[in-house]
Amino acid sequence: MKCSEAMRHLHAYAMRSGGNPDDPVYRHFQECSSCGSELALQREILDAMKDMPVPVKSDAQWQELNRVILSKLPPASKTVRFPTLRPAIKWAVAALFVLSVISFNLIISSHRQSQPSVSAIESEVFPRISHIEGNVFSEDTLMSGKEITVEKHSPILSGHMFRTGENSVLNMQLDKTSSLQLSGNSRLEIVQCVENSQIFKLENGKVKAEVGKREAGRVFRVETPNAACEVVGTRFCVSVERSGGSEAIKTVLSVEEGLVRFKTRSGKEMFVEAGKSAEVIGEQFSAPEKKCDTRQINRKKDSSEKIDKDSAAEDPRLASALRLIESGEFGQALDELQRILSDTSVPSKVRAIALKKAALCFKITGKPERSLEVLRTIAEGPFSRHEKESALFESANLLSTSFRKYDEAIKGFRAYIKRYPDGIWIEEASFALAELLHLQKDFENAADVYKKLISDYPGSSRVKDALYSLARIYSRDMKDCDRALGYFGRIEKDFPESDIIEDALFWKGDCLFNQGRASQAIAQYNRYLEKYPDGKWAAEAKARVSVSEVSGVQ
Amino acid sequence: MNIQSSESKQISVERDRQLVEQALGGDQHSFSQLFFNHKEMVHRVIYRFLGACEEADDAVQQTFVELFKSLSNYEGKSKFTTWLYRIAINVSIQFLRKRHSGIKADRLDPDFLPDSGNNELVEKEELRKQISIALSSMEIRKRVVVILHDIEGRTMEEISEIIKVPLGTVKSRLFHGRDELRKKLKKVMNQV
Repeated sequence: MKCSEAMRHLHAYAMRSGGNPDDPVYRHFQECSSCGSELALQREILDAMKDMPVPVKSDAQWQELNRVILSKLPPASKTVRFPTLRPAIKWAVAALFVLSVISFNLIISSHRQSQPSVSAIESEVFPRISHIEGNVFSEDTLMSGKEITVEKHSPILSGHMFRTGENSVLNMQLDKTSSLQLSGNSRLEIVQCVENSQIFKLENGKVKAEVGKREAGRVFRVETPNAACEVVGTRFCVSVERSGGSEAIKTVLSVEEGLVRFKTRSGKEMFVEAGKSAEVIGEQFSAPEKKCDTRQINRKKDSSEKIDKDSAAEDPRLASALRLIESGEFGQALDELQRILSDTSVPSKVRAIALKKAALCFKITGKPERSLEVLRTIAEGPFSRHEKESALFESANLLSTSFRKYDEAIKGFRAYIKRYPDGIWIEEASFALAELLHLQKDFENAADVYKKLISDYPGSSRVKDALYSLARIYSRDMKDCDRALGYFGRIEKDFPESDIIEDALFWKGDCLFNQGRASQAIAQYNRYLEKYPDGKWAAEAKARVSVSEVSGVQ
Repeated sequence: MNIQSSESKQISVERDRQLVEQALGGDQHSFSQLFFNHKEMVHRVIYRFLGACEEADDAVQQTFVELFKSLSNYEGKSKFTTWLYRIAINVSIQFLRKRHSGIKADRLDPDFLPDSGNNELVEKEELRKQISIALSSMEIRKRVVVILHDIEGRTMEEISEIIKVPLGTVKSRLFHGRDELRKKLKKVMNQV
């Protein structure tokens, strides 16, 4: 290799600590003294630049600088730019301004007596603390980190962590219709509290939320360490119980009114209706869950949201139904959709969207059989390919997640794959089919579908999970460790920093161990332990290493 | 860990947005809060360009005054810190232009340089001093990128947003800037 060629890669290699002896560029830097010294100098420079010192100022100096800056600030009114106008127009604008000020003053003076008192105005400021009982503290997690006693006029800002003492209560009024009540011995972080997004994180204890009707796009969410509850207009209660590690965290949601979307951290979700409760322990729902893949939702949104919006613009009744759905009024939305569907003159595009939205409302309100019926109508009806294929996919999904009729769901996904081999849901349908076959212990067919997914859609977000499932099918279910090792190796190579790498490293060791390749297994376990010294398989890996060492393998 | 840090970044972005809104409404306390939240970052960037001098404090003041004047233009499309970086860099460049020359070695503040007898430390400090001198004579466009990337640790994407130039241009300026810096330092070292 020529020096000039190696020098083109100098900066990239200077930022790495080691290298691969098979790599010709790396080898050149090792062998060529001139390029090697350039590399060493570049590394030295980058290293020195990492922590270039800056003189430290004392608090008093910063305070003084702040004071000087404040004294130099122009009056607030000067910050507003006045548009460049010709003199005549300027005079006209000025005259208009004077007139409007006079009129405004007249109006104000005539209404002055009917103005609310200052305290009444203050009470309209949101969010605010409306009631405190016992000991309540707040900590600014972003800034000072110091804990202070909360008083009625204390601010509620993003990043604040509120903590209640035993038998203490804190009430927060978030807006005119929404409030939160934090029970004793609880910790609640204000993640975000602005008009359109109210997000809280309950670290421990219990919080009761009363949430007024939300306009479309307004978010209200209470997160816990292992779950999230998102509402559209309801009254509910969330509590977190900890009794050990993250697997032992239990989040309990009880819904008093309305409907709450209950999500685990891994993205599984279910809807909990009024009068019902549900639990998430670790990452699992303890009540029967209705699986819903968020990635699918996102993709569906991407592809069809525009079509829905365009159609809604054409039909005000559809626009109104969409608004009702977004604000959680599914019953009213269904009435509106029914009116659209009974009108024979509506265009096919609007009819398809109305049916699709009706299926959604039925599903959310716990009527999956009606939802399935509607989806089948779309899938077989005279609608666009986009709507038909989405409906076919959704119906198979519903059979799997709501009805748990896996054989029928498998048929549905197979039908989708056959009918729409280039469909927008093809990756998800293939993955869901493989998962169901795996679940039905049809390992060979499951493996075939996973393999086809990997080879046909190498860029799919499902490839990583498909590789891992394949590796586990071969290692655990089909006892074919040779093949499993190939797939574990590919995970290590292609997804070295992914969320499955920890498991893949350990199970690769397990494969080697089961094959009797003890020294390689030990090396693999040690690789695992080096990367995850406190990992979930660390104890098992250590035990296997020590067993092998005792039996003299090394 | 990543989730945590991205969450806290999101919170601080939201916090800045709130403070900007409140400062725009005439709340001086909120503006002071913005100052205290970002004072070190602004001071650091200015110091990288101007070195330790009386002008550095003036430039910090000027940056925050400029920030206040332009608060109403902040649309929240970019991160507040990106915007503030841009202002601090522009102010630094204005000061440099006024000065008509780069920082000199004697402008480095000796008070914070370690006076340890440890040779390695002294050598590293000497190298840093030479880096500062070499940077001061570098063309401003390249200097900005090298300082932001290699000293401040900003990503190329962030730099592209801060100085509003395409990513490819940032990469090219960084490559040539680093090359120039290394060649200058090599020359100095050979002389020594």
